[in-house]
Amino acid sequence: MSGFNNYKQSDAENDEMLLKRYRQTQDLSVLGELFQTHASMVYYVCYRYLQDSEQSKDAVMQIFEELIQKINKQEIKRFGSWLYVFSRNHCLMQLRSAKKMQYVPLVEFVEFPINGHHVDEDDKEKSLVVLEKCMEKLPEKQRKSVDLFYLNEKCYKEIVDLTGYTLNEVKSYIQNGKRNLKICMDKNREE
Amino acid sequence: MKNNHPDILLIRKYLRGELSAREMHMLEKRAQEDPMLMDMMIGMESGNEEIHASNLSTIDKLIEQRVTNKQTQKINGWRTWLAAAASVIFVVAIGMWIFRTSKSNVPSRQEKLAVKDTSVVRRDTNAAIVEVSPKQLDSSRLIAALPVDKSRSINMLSAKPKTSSRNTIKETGLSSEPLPRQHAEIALSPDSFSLITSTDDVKQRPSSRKVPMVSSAESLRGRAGSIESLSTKSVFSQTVENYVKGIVKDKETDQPLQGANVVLADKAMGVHTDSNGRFRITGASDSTHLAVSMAGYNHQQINVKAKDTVLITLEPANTSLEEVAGEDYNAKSNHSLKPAIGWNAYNKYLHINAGDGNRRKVTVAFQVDTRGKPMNVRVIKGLNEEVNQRAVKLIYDGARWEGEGIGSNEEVKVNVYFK
Repeated sequence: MSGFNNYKQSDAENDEMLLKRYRQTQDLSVLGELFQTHASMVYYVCYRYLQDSEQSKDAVMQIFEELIQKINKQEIKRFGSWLYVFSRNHCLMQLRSAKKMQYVPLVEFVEFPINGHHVDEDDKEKSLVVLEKCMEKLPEKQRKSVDLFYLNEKCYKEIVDLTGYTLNEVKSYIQNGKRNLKICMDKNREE
Repeated sequence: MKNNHPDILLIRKYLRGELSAREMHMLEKRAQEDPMLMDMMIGMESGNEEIHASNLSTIDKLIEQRVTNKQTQKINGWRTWLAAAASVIFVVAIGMWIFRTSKSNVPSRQEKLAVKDTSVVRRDTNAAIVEVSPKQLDSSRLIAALPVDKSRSINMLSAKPKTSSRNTIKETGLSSEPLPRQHAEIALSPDSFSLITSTDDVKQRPSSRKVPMVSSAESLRGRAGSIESLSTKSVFSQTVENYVKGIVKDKETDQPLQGANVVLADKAMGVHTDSNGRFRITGASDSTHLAVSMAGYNHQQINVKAKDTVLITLEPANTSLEEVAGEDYNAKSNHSLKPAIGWNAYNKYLHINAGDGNRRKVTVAFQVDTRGKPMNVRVIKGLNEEVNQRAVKLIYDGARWEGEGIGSNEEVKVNVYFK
């Protein structure tokens, strides 16, 4: 884990440097360099939503054009995450405008992540108890999946093998279980 | 190639099955906490990797090209185009107004205008050239002759016109002797609807009747007036008047929600709320629907009209995508499942055990496993988290269930009343 973090750290620093340089010089090639390091991310995110490789390719270039317009107007702390949200919104808007329907059913595409629980040492003991209690309340499939994934550190594939659920089921049980846990934990923390 | 994000290399290995179980788990766990990584993984696991690879290198080249292209290309959004459209209309309106006023040597109801007129009329006719020059090639130009002190030339940017066809509208001066000649030529590329409609109007009206030389200042005024009001209206409709603004909050916590999707139902146009939960959306008609949604909340639709300011509260959803799919399956109560102890006894159990307070209802839905035990109990319509959890616990702790639906994904819905 730390290995990845270091990698990301230096990445982010590099981004910041390029961004700063671009802001000073307004040299498009600097922005191009910055964007290129993230272009595949943007492409795959687009592909995840648009499900079409041609459209995704076009979307990446449109996003770059929009970026040129917007980058000077916005304060950007972490370019990578900013660009991700920017790209995702672009694709969602594209999907939406493509539908041109009277009523637009807004599909919820993304589960927002649990922001890391920052718990004081004192509370740790208590929250572990709460966690256990909340775990018990989870529906069995979710509990099993969450337990295997987070506590036993099994990967999806292993969980599939162990439980006999399908891969998609496992993913969704973990997702749902995690959310239910969060709701439960938050509730208990307030008390 | 700079295009290789470390995570992408990692996900590629993951998808090719080159990672150990532990490494796979680490990546999956990170993806759970990082929507970007999650989206990337989902994007990468579908589709053809070869096509992706070739697209990625194309993108790389396109960026290089784009960056080295020294010409400052500007792709402008519809806003800029609209602004250009608005200015065109504005100029037309001004032209017509001056035209109108210059005609009003004839005694006029509008004394004040007439006073202004004279000053305008005395000036020489000069050509004011407004040039709307969009991206490189096509340019839509507008030349309007206006009686002003000196000719002005205004350059502004505009979006690249999508069609090369042009509407050329000529209106040659309806000049009566003592008045300065007026000449207006408008050439523009139709791209924006508001532009087209208004120019059409301009075109049609003058040509519809060949205007008599001197006589009807009244009718001229009428014409100019209607065109003016038309243009004013269309400018307004796009910019100032028809917006809806508001704030989106969590119904339970009353906290503003950032990033909620707000969409005008009849326009398929949407915005996101800012960090204070606020939004402002233009293009609303007199009566329209506003659809508001956000992941993890129930979708909501309300009726609004232009200039409304609304407060929208979203109720947190207790359902997941997967579970929603099951909901319709058993929306009616024609399910086979029933409590092993019978409904009467079961209701009594709920009745006795569902604590105190005012009479309130929690609707839960669940499935029954092969041993008759409730599972996946979820709250469909709840009150607050505490009561909801109690309702769920009651179901789990309650009687076993029987019927054909055990062990299937059939769902039972039960109302738990709290008194």
